[in-house]
Amino acid sequence: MTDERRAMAAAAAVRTRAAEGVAPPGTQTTGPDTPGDDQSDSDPSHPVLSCSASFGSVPRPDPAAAPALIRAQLRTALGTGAVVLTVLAGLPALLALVPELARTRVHGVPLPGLVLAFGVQPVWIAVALRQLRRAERAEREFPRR
Amino acid sequence: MTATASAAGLAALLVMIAVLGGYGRRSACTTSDLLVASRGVTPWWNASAIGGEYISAAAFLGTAGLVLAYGADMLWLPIAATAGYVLLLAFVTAPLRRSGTYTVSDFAEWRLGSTAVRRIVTCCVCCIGWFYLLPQFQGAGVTLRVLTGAPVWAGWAVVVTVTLLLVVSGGMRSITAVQAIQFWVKVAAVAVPAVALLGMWHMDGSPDPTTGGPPRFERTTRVHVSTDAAVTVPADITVTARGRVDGVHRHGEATTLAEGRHTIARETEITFPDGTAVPHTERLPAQDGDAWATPFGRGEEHGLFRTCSALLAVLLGTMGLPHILMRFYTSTSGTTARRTAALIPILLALFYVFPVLYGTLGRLYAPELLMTGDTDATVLLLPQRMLPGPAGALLTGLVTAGAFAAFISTSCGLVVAIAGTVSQCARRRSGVTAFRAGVVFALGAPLVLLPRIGPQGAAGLVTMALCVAACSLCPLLVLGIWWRGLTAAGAGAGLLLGGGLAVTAGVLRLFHGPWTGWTAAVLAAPAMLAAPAAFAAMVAVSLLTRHRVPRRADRALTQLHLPER
Repeated sequence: MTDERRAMAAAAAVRTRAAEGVAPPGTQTTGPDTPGDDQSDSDPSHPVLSCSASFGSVPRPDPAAAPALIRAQLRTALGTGAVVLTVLAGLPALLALVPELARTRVHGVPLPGLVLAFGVQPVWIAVALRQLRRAERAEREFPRR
Repeated sequence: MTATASAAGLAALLVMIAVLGGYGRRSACTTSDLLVASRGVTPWWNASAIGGEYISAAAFLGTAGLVLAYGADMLWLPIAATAGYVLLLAFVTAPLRRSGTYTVSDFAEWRLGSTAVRRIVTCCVCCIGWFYLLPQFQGAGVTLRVLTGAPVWAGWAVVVTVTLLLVVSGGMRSITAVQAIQFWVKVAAVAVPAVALLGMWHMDGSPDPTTGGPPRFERTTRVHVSTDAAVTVPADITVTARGRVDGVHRHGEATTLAEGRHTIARETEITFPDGTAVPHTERLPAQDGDAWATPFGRGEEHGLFRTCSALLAVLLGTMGLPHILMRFYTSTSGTTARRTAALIPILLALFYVFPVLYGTLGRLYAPELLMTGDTDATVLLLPQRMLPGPAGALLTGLVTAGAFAAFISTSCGLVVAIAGTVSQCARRRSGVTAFRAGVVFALGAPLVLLPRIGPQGAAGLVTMALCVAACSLCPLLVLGIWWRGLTAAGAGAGLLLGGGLAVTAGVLRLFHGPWTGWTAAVLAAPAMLAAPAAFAAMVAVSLLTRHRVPRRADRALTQLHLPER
C-alpha cells in the first residue's frame, strides 16, 4: 500500500513535497521541530525544502512566511463563515420573531417564500466567488524566493 | 402506459451507465486508479461529478415532498445545503487536497499520527455512509412501487446491483464520467418536465396554492390505499369506498366521513368527488394555504429550535461527507480543488429551483399524496397527473431516469468512500481484493437495516446522516486543518462524543419511539447540541493533553496551506 501511495505522489508531478507528506505517519520525525517550536518551518535544512531543489529556477513559496499566510487565509475563511452564519441564523430568527414579516405578500405572492426559494442561492454563489478570489489573491501575494 | 415509460426511462439510463462504465473500465487496474481516477479531472468536470454525487434521493425526491407536506418551512434545507459548500470551500478543500491523502481516515492518521483515531474515523465514515445509503435504496423502492406497482425490494435490487457492478468493475474513474453526466441528466430530468408543467398550470388559469383552505381534489380522484392507514379528515366529506373503512366493510356505496380521525384498511379503494377536502395521513399536518406558504406558519412545537438545528446539521455535515471529500482528491492541485468547490454552489442553485416548483404544484394537482403519505413521489407523479396521455408518459420516463440517476450516483460515491476507507484499514490483503470486499460490506449493512425501519422521508434520513457528519468529521477536519494544537486524544474524544451522540439519536429515532415534546425535537435534530459538544470536547481534551501535540504539527500545517508552487 505504501508503494502505491508513493507512486501516486510521484505521478502528481507538481507535488514534490507530497512524497514526504504521504508516507506513513511516524516515519518522518527526523525534522528538528518540537511541539512548541513554531519557528521550525523556517529552518532551511528542513527535509521538506530539500525536495524543492529539483525545481531549479521556478520560484517556490517561502515556508518562513507560512504562519502569516495561514493567519490571512483563516481571516478570509472566518469572514466567509461569518457571512454564512449571519444569513442562516438571521433569516429564521427574523421570520420567527416577526410573524408579520413572514406573512408579507407582494401582488398576492408570499414574499418570504419567494426569497427563500430563489433569493438566497445567488447570495451563496457571490460569497463563494468572493472567497475564491480572496484565497487565491492571498496565495499570489505570498512571498516567494 | 406510464409503467412502460418508466421502465423505458430506467432502461435508457442503465444502457448509458453501461456504455460509460465500460469505457472507463478498460484502464482501471490498480487501487490508485480505482480510488482517485489518477487525479486528472478538470474543475467543471469534477464539479459536475460532485453535484451528481450530492443530488441524491433527498434532493431529487425528498425536497419536493417536504415542500408539499410542510410548505415554506422546508425551503431552508436547500439553502443550508448550498451554504455548506461555501464553508467547505472556505475551510476544507484546498488544504485537504494538499495533504495528499486519499481518504478522511488517511488524513486523520497523517495529521495526528494515531491509528486509533484512524479507526474511529473509519467507524464514523461507515455510519455516515450507511445512514446516507438507506434513503437511496428506499427512494428507489418507492419510485418503482408508485410508478409500476412493483414490490419495494425490486427498486432496492436495481440500485444495489447496478452500484455493485459499477464500483467493482470500474471504480472511481468510470464513476467520474458517469457522475458528471448524471448531474446533467438529473437537471434535465427535473427542468424539462417543470417547464411543461408550468405551461399546463398557466393554461389551467394559474390557480394559487398559497391561499384558501386545506388542499382539495381538483377533479374526481380514485385513491388506492396499499397499507393500513390512519388519516385525519379536515372537514366532513362524502366518498365512495370499496374495502374496510373504520372497520366496516364497504361495497362502493356513498359514505360520509366526519371531520376527525379514520382508519382505512389496506387494499381499499376510495373515490373522492372533485372539491372534497383531502384527508391527511396522521403524521402530516393539514394546513390552509396561508400557513403552508408562511415560514413558521403552522406553529410547530419548538419550530425555531428544529429549524436551526437541522440547518446546522446540513451546513456542517456537508463539510464532513466522505464521498464528497474524496472527490477533491481527483483534482490536480489544491488550487483546482478550490476552484472546483467554488463552482458547486452555481450548479446546486440551478438544480434547487425545480424541487420547490414541484412541491408547490403538487399541492394543487397531486394532493392525494398527503393521504397516502408517499410525498416523496411528488416529482414522479405530477407529469402524469397534469399531462395525461403520451406526453405525460414521456415526461414520467424522463423523471424516472433522473431519479435513478440520483440513487445510483450517490450510492456509487458512498460505496467507493466506505470501501476505500475500510480496505485501507485492512492493509494485509491485496488492494483490489480488499476494496471489493469493502464494497460488499458497504452495501450489505443498509440492506439488513432497511426492512426494519418504518416509513421515513428521504430528506429526513439524509439529514440524519449529515448530522453524524456534522458532529464527527466536520470538527476533525476544521480543527485539524486550522489549529496546530489538536492532539490525537482530543480528536478521538470529540469524534466519540459527537459521533456517538448523533448516531444514538438517529438509532433511537429510527427504531424506537414515537417521541414527543423536547425529546422528539432533540432526537430529530440533535446537531445544535452535539456539534458544539464535539468541538468543545476536541478543544478541551487537546488543551489537557497539550504536551502530546504531534511533533510534526507545524510542518503539516505548512504543507496544508502553502500553495504548491
